[in-house]
Amino acid sequence: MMAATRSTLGVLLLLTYVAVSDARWVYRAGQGLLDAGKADSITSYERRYRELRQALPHQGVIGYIHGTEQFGTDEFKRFLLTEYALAPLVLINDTTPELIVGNFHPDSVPAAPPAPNLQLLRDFGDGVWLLRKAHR
Amino acid sequence: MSAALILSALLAVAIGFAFLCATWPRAVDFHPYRAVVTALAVGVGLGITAVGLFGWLVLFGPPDRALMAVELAVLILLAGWINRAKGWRAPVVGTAKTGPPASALVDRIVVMAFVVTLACAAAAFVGLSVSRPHGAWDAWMNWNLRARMIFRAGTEWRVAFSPLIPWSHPDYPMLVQASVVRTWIYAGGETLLGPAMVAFLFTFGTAGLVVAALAALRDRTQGMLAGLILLATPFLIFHGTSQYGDVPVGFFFLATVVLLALHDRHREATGAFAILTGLTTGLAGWTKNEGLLFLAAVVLATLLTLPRAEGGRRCAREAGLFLLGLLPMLVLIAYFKLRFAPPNDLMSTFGAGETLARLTDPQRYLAVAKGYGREVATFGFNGLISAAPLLGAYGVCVGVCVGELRTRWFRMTVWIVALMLMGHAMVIIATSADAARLVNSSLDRLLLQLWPVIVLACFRVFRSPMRRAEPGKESALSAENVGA
Repeated sequence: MMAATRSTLGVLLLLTYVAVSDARWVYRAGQGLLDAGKADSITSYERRYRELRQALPHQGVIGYIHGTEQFGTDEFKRFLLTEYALAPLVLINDTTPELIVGNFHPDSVPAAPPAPNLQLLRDFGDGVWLLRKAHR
Repeated sequence: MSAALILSALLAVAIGFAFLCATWPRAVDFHPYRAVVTALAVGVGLGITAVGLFGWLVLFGPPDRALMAVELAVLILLAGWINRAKGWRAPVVGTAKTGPPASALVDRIVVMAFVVTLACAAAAFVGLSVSRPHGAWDAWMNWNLRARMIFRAGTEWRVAFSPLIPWSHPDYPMLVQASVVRTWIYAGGETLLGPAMVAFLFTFGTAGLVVAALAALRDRTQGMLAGLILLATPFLIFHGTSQYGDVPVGFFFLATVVLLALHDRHREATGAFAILTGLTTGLAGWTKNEGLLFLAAVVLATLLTLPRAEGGRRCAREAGLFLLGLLPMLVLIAYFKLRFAPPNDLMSTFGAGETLARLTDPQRYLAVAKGYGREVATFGFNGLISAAPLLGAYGVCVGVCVGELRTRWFRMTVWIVALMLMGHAMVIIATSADAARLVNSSLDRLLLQLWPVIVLACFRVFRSPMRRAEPGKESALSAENVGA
């Protein structure tokens, strides 16, 4: 009798946990329905590079500048998403390659290339630049 | 979802199923294990086709839709071989026995709860994938990035392993990325549905395998109770949609432990399950680097639980069969690591002097111990209770079958989990990264990899709730099963 009561308690405990999770799943499914048709943040971010991709070679190594002193989590995330968008190009976080992608925050786009040895090839808007090394 | 994507999934699972049928031992009745084989086929099929795709890349360059024809031919060959050489009416020697079902009322409630939870979890998976179609951070930093590089680079696909992008972990093995590339080849172009579908197959394949294995090894109610806990574990579904390699590698850990259970049950009749155990262990190593730690854990656990009465010849034979299944994957992993993968970012920080200093720093052990305690206590929290304490509380309520507790399989599984946790702890302690930070950022995922194995092991030994049979008979039945 005691064992049966304990077993019932165990099953009830388990089913309570499951019921709470089910409620969460229903909520998540609803959120998904609401998000359907909207572009997620990464897809939107990738769109910034649509035109730039046409202007870049299909393969190779390209540089990257972001216009800020620090390279924290946010800057790293933007760098990763740029690589994700421009793959299979290999993106390195310096300006040694011939072509360099400038990825600036739209509110703080510099007036001129941030280094004297860089030449602006094209401004794609929304803080996306294509630069190259200036040959003297 | 496009028909081509569904075809890619069906063909992979069919190849896995046909392969498992082709290697299924004649001495063991297939029918009680149909569901187990079907669930195993999900991962094994994706694994085999991922190996095929990588082989194609290496030998012939970027695959095109001819890959579909080749895979179809492989399936037809396997089916033909099964039909001719094996014959499906094989003699039955070791029919699986399972315990009596739980009371009809409990069984009905559990089945209903399972169906509802499966539907809710699948809907949530779809909803989360709609909200985050690119997955989470590591998906676009590593897994799907690598797939994109391979798919987009054409003949220059080796650029995906460039040492210039070490932060993307180009040393990670290729099962997940190759599976994603394969879906794009079928679809004729990149689609976000490809990686989401691969993630779905592994996530729900894991739950399916736990349910099917326990239904075969114990009873249906027990399997569905375990499946309920898995499907209700928020992190499993949520992380499944992250499109990382943790859920897939967890699938292969689980598959290995399930096959070890079949080996333990039928070892008198056949050694075929030892070969398949080697294969799934190898597929774990082809999914994530943790799979190599798992291989070491499986080997050590086997040695630690060797029956004293058994002769060395038999042990050597079983080790040989395990190696037979493992060897092709081991050769592939070695080839990949030597030919393509740059040094691992964690392992490359292993300098002898520094490592010794880290290993002798008690603060690091303390940080890791605290992290383990915290993560275990909060693992699977769903807003009400965490899954790990729930599992413990459920076990206290229903009790355990002493017979199951004493099986070699159970002791081996406990050793595997313990060795994996110890191995992870030592990697965290010995690496140069901040131990506390690494614990915070990785331990929940490492626990998730082992969670299906832990749930399977617990429900194998837990008593079924409110069984009609007398409690004392449960262990006797289970002990009988072991030697069947």
